[in-house]
Amino acid sequence: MRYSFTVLTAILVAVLLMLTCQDAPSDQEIRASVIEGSTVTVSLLPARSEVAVGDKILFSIQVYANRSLSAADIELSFASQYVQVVAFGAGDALGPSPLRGIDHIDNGAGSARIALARVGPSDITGPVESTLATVMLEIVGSLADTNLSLSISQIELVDGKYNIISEVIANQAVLTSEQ
Amino acid sequence: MIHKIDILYWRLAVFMLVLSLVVVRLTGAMPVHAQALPAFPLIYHGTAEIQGIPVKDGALITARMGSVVFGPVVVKDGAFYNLAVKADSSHNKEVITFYLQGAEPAEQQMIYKYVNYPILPSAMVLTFNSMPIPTPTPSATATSTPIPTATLVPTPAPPIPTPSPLSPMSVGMEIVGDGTLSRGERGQLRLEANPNGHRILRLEAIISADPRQVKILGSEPGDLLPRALSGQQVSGAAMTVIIFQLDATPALHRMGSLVEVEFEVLRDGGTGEVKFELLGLNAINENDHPIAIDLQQSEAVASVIGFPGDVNGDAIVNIIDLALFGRAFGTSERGRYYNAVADFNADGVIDTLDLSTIVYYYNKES
Repeated sequence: MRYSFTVLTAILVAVLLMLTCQDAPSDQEIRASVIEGSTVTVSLLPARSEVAVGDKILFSIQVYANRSLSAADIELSFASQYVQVVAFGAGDALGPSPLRGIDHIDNGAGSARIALARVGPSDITGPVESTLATVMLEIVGSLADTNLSLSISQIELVDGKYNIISEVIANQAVLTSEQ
Repeated sequence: MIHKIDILYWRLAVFMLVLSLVVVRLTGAMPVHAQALPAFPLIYHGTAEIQGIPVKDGALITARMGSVVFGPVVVKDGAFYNLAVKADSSHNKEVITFYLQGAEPAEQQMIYKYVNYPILPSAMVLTFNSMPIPTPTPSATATSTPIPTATLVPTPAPPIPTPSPLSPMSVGMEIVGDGTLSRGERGQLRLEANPNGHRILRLEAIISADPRQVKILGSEPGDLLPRALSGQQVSGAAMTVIIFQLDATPALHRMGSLVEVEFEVLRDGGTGEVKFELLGLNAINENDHPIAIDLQQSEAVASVIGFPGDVNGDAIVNIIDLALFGRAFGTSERGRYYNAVADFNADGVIDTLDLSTIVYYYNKES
């Protein structure tokens, strides 16, 4: 009787010690570790790099991230005397039919912007290497004397925990005149 | 030896059982005989009109049940509030008749229902045929009787001083502070009054607001009720506050606070304001009679800053809000990912109408 009481007490004390000494990471620590992960890269990839006036070129905006994404706000800038944006659409990085918060093309000012968000909860695991968006451009001016660069002037990505990803590297694309 | 220990354990177990029963009984955990619960008043409010025209301000409305008169309450802007009718269960199903100026009966009547729990006030439209003409008081008319000669006229006895009737307790409601709040912020609503000499023993108030806009958190008795015990029942954004004074308040003639209610704003200022309404107020004096109430202001409005679309409440609508909105998109109130804050038009469904709102406010800062 006394022996079993001693054993029970010892087990109880051990359980209490285990519960109090656990060093569980706080939500903030988890969030910080996600945000401080490796940099996310976004690249503009043209279907081809040599173009002529009148051509329509499809660009895909590829994202390489070590975490899932829930939304993206992308603004492109371009020299409007050479190219015009025909269409700006969603890719597959944010699910099959993401919401569009902004879908704005200003060919006069040489800018185009799209804001997309995944519908439903984000998959919080796994890296992403897919197409965020696609842009269809039409060449309207001769590129004989110049190389045309198309760049991402502003980008904001939101991860699966609904935090802005602070470090995003955006690569520009360069088009040259067809020989 | 083992046998002795067994007996000892048995005795100890029986003793512990008896002891626990005694403790449970003393602490009230056991069921006790049901006690008669006090009646709660039926509170009536609504409009009063004479042949379709609102009754003029200052007119008095009373309710009668048998020989018992309840009220009066004062008509203001054609409306009356807080006409409380309370009686014991023996009056159940008796007819309540409403009177204008104590003389003109209304066409509408109600049936008294004894309740021992707070219920929402009943709204009604009282229709009267006419405004009763006050009965002229007899006045001495001049007669041509000769002036009597010196006869002894008995000296009239000095009049017995009667207590002058007290004015109704004036009551209003206001938001504490500048009345400007944002989503998630807590505010305070105050029910103010000047008792005008009435001594308050008990107070019952029903305050409501749109439950989609605010959450009522709790209430406390105000400075006019310093020795009070209060209870409250919150259902959505309707709150019933019941306050019992340990003894009747002094006969005060100053403005003060009856009840202070704390609330939390749930939404951004799509409509720009949150409105509180005093649906019922019943004050009882030291003689257990209702105190006449002159309701100066039965509504209080708080301005809500911010705008819909700011789902995470950081004062800017940006891609994070769109991401959070996307998470809830397509859900309805019972859905797992439904987010009431993202349901900007509060129709219970997060759909393209709400999307159009977030698109409209995108990139805006408050």
